[in-house]
Amino acid sequence: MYNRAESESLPFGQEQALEAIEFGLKESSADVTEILIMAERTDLTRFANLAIHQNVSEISYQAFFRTIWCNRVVVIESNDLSRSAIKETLHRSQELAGAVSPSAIVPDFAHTVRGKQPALQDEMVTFNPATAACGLESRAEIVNRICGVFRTHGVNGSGNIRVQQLEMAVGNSAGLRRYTPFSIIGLIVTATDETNWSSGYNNWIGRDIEASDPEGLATVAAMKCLMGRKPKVVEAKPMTAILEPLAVAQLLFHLNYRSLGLFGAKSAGLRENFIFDHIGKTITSPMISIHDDATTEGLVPMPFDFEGVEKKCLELVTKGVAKGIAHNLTTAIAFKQSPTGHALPPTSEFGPTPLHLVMDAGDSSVSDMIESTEYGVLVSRIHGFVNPLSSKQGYLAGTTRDGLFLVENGRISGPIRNLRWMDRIFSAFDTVEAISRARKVHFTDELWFPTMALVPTIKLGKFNFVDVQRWTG
Amino acid sequence: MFDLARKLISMSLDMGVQFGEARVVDQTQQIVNSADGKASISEIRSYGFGIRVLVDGHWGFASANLSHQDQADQVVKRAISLARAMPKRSRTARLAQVPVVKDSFETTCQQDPFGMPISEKVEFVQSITRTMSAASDLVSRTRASLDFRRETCYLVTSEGTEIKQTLTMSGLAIAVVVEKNGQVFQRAYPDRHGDLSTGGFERVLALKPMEAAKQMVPEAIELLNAPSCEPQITTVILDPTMLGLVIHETVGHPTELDRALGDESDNFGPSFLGLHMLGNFRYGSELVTIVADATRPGAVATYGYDHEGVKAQRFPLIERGIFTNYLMSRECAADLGLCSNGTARASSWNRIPMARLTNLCLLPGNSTKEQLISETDEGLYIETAKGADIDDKRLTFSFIGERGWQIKNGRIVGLVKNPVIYGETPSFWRNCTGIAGPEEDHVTGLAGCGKGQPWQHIPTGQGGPPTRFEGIKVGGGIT
Repeated sequence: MYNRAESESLPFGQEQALEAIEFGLKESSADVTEILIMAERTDLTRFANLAIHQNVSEISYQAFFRTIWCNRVVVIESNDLSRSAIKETLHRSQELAGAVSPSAIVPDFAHTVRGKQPALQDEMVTFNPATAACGLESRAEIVNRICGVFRTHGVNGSGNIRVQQLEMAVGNSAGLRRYTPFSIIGLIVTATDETNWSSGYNNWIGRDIEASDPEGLATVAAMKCLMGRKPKVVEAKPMTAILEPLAVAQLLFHLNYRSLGLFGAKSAGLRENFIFDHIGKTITSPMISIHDDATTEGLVPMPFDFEGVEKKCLELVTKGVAKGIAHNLTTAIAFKQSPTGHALPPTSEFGPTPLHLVMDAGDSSVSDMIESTEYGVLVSRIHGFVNPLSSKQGYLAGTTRDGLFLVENGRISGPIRNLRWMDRIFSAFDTVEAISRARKVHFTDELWFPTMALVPTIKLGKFNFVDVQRWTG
Repeated sequence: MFDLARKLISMSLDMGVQFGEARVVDQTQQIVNSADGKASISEIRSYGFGIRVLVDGHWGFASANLSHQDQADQVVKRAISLARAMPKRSRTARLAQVPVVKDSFETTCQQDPFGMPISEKVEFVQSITRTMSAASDLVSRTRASLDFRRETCYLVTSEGTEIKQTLTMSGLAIAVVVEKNGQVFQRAYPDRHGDLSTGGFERVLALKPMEAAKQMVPEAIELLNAPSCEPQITTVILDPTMLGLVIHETVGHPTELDRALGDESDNFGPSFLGLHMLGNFRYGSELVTIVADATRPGAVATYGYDHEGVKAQRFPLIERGIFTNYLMSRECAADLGLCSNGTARASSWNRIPMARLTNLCLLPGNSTKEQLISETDEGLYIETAKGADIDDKRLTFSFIGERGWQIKNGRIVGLVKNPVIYGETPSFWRNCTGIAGPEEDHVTGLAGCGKGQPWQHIPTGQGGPPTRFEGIKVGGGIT
């Protein structure tokens, strides 16, 4: 394993990326200039009904030129890094600068080199050639193993395997030069039994293919699917809910940029951020601690953000107290804080965003949680489509998915139809009764770099279920 | 660029593919933004090429930046090797037959947004935010954005089709935040996602943004002080933005055939609409006819041809309440022995085409908004779509609007903020009891509907006139 790219198949390469950055910075006549290059090779194999139906490969790169002219900020994104295109982009930036307004707050690029000049490449191990070498035959073989598990259990199945080689290079006129390659493998498996209205799901992501366990993932999904056959209707009402890691991760993703944006400064700037409004105050149970740490074992590591700022461990909620939100170079000045190393690319709509979420473990187990429940539900997963009702209140609505089970008198009594829920999430977390020791990594993939969460199973004394899926066709 | 696309196809045929489809795409986007009176501009340009091939019935797709066109042969080889590496158990694709086309299409723009001086566009958004800022001391944030997009696509297939298509889109989004005593309300126009259309700057002017800006501040202040919505079962009348979002989620996505066949089960889910329901399932009341119309002038998903070279069409998804058609690509149409209905689109050069929503329109009735309200004993008229969620099979949903007008005995009697409607797709549409006429018809353009792996975000249109539904669960409690 290496901390540098030693695969010839890397989409761009360190030398070429840095050469383009040097050329652009030299050519720029702006007061300050930042150039970010994101290169990508993504190979994805997708299957449905136990057969591969999609095999795609993409090699691409994007470059972001952020220039500041008398406090006027211009951003241009292009995928042409020829010298003539770079010159043209910088010339266009100057043209546009004449039309934009001066900003009261501009990013402080000098911050990135203040104190100790960061090394071009971090010591952090971000690239594993074995992962990058997972070619199409290997992906097909993994699909075959997953489908084999599904066939053995007599269920239908779908899913995908994504192998990515990413490169990120940042340079600015204050002297920063940083580069890192990434290798990432992501697996998604869904077991289905359409006749019996049942499904099971699992996902995993990592830097190292050696750590993947396709059969294990598929087995969990298949077992959920088998357990979930012929679900019954149970009336929706506020009740005890044991949320498994996939469900907890989904809630964190939606508290994050996917819905409410509570972990970043953008919504705070819009006066719509429940965490920011309560910094220093208790917002939920002291059993709940959530932070962001890009060095967490099991998550795909990332040494610096898209502005080249070192990633810091960021406390979001500690023992129930709201502690902080993510900042980039611009919001740090606006909020009189230090940047936390959570910038996204400059054209992103989301503002600074944590990508490595961690919820602290407890000392319980899922079986203990079930045994201690008189009446409640075991929630395997929350559907990714969630309604962001209020950032000001941390209020979300959504549905369960891929396995919902009734728990009665200390045991699982059977599968039930999906429920609709609607709750203020930190109020729901305030009712937490137990948290598991065991935690799992799950991910969501809307952004160029995945958003991951290492999370336990949690038992909530009360989660507000408001409706049930009744329709059976 | 045709030369590159032809070269890709020629190379792929020389290498033995049974079908090839090459696209060379150049995309430009310009966003002109004014936030609290400060103007900013972002420009994005992306161009590249992709080739999709069928070898022994198996798909392969590869793509690269246009600057790598000297490596075109490598890209073709990669696509073919992906197809050849498919194991025997892989699905074998067949394609519905389509006529060979040699044609071009271009969006008509009365005022080309990319030809306008940038200073004019900056002044336009700044005048909107100035107007809102000056309207009240309670205004804390203002934002106005213009979004202009142009895509030129050269499509060449091994069957002989050659199409050049240039689409231009123009859009607008406005928002104002008012604050008082710790209470905050954000009012958006035309809705939280803005409104994108095909056409030039004239499409932005048609939205009458200055008139909207003048109204938004007093509306936001009124909502700041309004009560939240109480839980109830009642009649709701939805404005075109709310209706559009409901159509998008409860009709658009479930009628995508690839979803119904299970291809999206690993992502946002399948569909409740099984194949056995086609042609006989009662989706809605007799009043409900919803068409997918990729020919509607000015709507955001209006084009000449889809990305498989199939001519844009207008066809019913639901006709007089009965489910009559899926949205289909060539591949999934062949699975049903049907023809493609021209809805396969790709978000860019580096993505494959798949069945997508076009412009989904509820056909107008013969009522009016005023008449719908006057006929309602008790209910809510809900405006300005704000958010939504729906389950994986597209059945159980919630939709939230910014503003709800309380109706009693046929008259508006009060205002609530953030009303939420809940329901289940078939029972909701079967309770449709009135649709306003064509004068009040409006289709809103959503800039980015997500689907697929890797993700593809693509513009879609959806809407219709104000429409009434009875016996709907409503709630809120959101301050």
